[in-house]
Amino acid sequence: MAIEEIVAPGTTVAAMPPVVGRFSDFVYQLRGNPATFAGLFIVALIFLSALLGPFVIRYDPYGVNLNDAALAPSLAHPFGTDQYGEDVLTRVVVAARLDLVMVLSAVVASTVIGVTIGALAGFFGHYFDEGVMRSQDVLQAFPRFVFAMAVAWALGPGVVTVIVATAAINIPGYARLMRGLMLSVKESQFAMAAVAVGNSRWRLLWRHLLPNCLTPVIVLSTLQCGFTILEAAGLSFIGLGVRVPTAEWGVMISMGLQDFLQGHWWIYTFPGLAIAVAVLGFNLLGDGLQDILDPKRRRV
Amino acid sequence: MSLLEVSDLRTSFFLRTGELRVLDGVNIDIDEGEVLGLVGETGSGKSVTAYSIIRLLKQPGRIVGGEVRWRGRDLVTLWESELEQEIRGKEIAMIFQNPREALNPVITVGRQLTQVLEIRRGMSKREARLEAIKIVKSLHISDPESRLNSHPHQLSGGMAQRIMISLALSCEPRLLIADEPTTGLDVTTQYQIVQLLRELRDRTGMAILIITHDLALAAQMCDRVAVLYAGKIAEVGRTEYLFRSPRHPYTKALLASRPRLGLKGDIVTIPGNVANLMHPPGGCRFHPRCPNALSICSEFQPPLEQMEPGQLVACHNPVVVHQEAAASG
Amino acid sequence: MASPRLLLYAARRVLLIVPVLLVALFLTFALTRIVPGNPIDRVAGPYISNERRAELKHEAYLDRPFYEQFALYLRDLSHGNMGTSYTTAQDVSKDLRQRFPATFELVTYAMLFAVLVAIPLGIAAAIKKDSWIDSVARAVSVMGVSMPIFWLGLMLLYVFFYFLDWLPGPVGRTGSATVFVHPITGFLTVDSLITGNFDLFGQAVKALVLPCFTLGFVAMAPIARMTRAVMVEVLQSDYIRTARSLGLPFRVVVLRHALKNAMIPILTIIAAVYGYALGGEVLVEIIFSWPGMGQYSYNALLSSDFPAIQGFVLLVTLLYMVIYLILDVANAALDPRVQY
Repeated sequence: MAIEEIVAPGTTVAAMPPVVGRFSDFVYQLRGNPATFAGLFIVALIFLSALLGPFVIRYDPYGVNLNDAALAPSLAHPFGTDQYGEDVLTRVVVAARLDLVMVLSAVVASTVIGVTIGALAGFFGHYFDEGVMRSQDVLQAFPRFVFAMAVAWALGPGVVTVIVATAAINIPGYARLMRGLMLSVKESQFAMAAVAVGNSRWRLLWRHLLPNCLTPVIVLSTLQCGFTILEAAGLSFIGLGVRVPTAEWGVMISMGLQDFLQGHWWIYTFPGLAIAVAVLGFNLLGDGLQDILDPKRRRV
Repeated sequence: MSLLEVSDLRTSFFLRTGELRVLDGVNIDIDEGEVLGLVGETGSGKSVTAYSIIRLLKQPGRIVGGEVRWRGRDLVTLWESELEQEIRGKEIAMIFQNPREALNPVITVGRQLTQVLEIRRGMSKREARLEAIKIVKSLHISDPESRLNSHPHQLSGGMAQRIMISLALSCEPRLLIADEPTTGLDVTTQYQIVQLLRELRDRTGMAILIITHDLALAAQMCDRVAVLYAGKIAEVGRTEYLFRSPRHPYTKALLASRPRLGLKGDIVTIPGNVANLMHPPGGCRFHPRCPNALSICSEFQPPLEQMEPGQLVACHNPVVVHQEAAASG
Repeated sequence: MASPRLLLYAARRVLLIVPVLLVALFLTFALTRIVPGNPIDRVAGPYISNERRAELKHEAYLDRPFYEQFALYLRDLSHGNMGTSYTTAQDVSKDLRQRFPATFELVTYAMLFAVLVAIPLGIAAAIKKDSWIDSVARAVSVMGVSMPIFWLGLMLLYVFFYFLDWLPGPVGRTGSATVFVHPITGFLTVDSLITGNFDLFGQAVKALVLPCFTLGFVAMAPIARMTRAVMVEVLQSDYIRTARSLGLPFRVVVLRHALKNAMIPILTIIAAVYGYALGGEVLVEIIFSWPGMGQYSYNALLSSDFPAIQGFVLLVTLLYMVIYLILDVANAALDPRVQY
């Protein structure tokens, strides 16, 4: 019997609330989470600097000019100049491109490798799983930065070194995460249903299981971008990564350290601020994504 | 004066899409030593009523109106500290669904019990230990010593429920609120718990508010039963009257929809869906699904009125009661 | 709570370290051999005679096949011999022993600071969720997690040393004092108190403030975040509702019920942060010229001092494994659901 037949004449059934579109949903979540919005804004800003930076700068980032060495911040040089006369603001903006490229390469590499290893380990299980996980245990036995230092030192300074070293220390994290997700999703009801309908193992893995493990991986990758910036800058600071006089945030801070006792604080303060802001952006964005995508933590 | 008088209790959950009016004027009262059942479908607001009484609602829920008078005192307006020190545990205690999740997984159940005794009843460690064993024994838990040394995940569902009951009883409350005490347990254990609750009531004279969707349980245990639909009390009265001659169409439909031995044909269902609590139907909330609906039902919410053979009913057009049933009831 | 089963678990975990350690050793060893060129050429320079070069190579086992080198290295290691540093010409193990106390004191105080600040802060933020305390705690934490540790150190040094002149500069553990004390515990702060040398104590404390705060602040941030997150989740659980329904005072509920559950993931993150701190302290030692293992490793890296680098990585990794093991066993002791 339909509802209308039961309802006495003259009554109306209450209308259902409008179905909420996904974009307005996203905006609502952002509104309730201004920090996430700030994160998104900062990350966008960094990408912009990376893309457009070299086209809008006024000075040559490598233009040594000892006459203008170590000038304090002023209108002409808003971030001052370093001890070689290079404009700090210019270098900070240009460094965004280099740092971003290194970081994204490292994060993409470690994500792809780590997720693959973890997914296969979780999916196939048994000895393969054991072996893979023990190897990850060994990699994780080293304190992260010390391991990066050792790898960077062995490979010699350079951009590729930084990428390899920072990617290497991040792989176990993804592997473990993916393996855990895979294990739980493998046993789930919908996986069993997919198999019952006749999906091959590879199809099951690729089209059914992996998409459901995406969310935590995305969140981790976003956060990882931030941490990798710190590690890359740290390596360059010690001289194991990119070297002086390349415009890279960590390198610039080490240059500032050399000049420390002269009191030229701007040489290291602004690059450091750039790092802090960049990492902050990725952290806020990552946290926000976690809040938005995890149904338990959504703004209700 | 009744022990507990809930008048016009209104509780809402404030969601993004709007205000979910879960309880929209609930009226209940319980006397000393009485067992009242609160029955209703899932989503009718039964558990929310319980949490509202002792004010342990989780966000984003909030009491938005009404009174909850405990021996005359309005619990809704009390300070949190007064509620904590004087009412919870000591006067009103509660047992929850999913007993194993409602116990702290990293502390032994014995310690959880003795802690309450030490803090709330001022006992020493030794006294508390002895009292704990005594309580647990009175609930027919075998091998109390070793049971008390286990952790919740080591207990069976029925055992965990008994432990929860012992926790609730440890401060000798005057009212026990039992939220779905038998759900999730196997039939044998269910029976045992029901017997246990009965025995407790006889022994201590404690009042019990049983919240359940299981009509059979309500029939077995309760002196009176209140039927909750979409945040409002539809009918409340003595168990015999309510079950034998229900006056509210919803109650009647509920009773008719139970599977029974010897039933021929399809099980009767209640047509339509549970009322939308965000945008409830005007007037009586049940009217869109009600076989007795009149035009007045869509305009005015009927008040609870005393009706034959002996219950309070909120309906403009209640079920006709047969004289023979009334006379024998 | 030290039941025999727990001790067995601890013993099993200790044994498990051995294979991991061996593989770690192999990895470090292999890494140093990836570096192009050989160490002798790097260190000795081009002006030694070929015979001398061959002699040095022989002494350093560099004329043997890879696996033999590794085996010899292991053999030496089992005797506590980590080789001779190319720069200090001393045994690496002696070098590290000399420098270990400085690092250990720094890291210990920094971690103590981090934990003692982070956990109460996280708990307060969770209890008063969305209040101003919460906002401050979250802001501080997210900043601490975002800033580069070496930058923070430099900034603090600038403000408190260069600008305000309140604290000593990067000159080591004793600031301006030149009095030495025979090491008893290795902790300058403790030793100076034991020997009644209060002036030295003051100097040592002043010298410790900035490096400890730098390392400690960066360590505190992730712990505070995790504490808050875990506490918020725990406070929503059913068993907390049960405890409150019994009228247990909120303080008791939080400290005895909630915290005990929360400690389990918190201990895990403290272990992770400790690993992070062991890396961070290298950077801190560089900035503050702290005479510890971190600075030693930095010099070793710059001068390709293979044995020293190996020794450092080894020791730090071992230290990390031990800390991790302790926290893991503590976790097992706390959580009755863990199978052991």
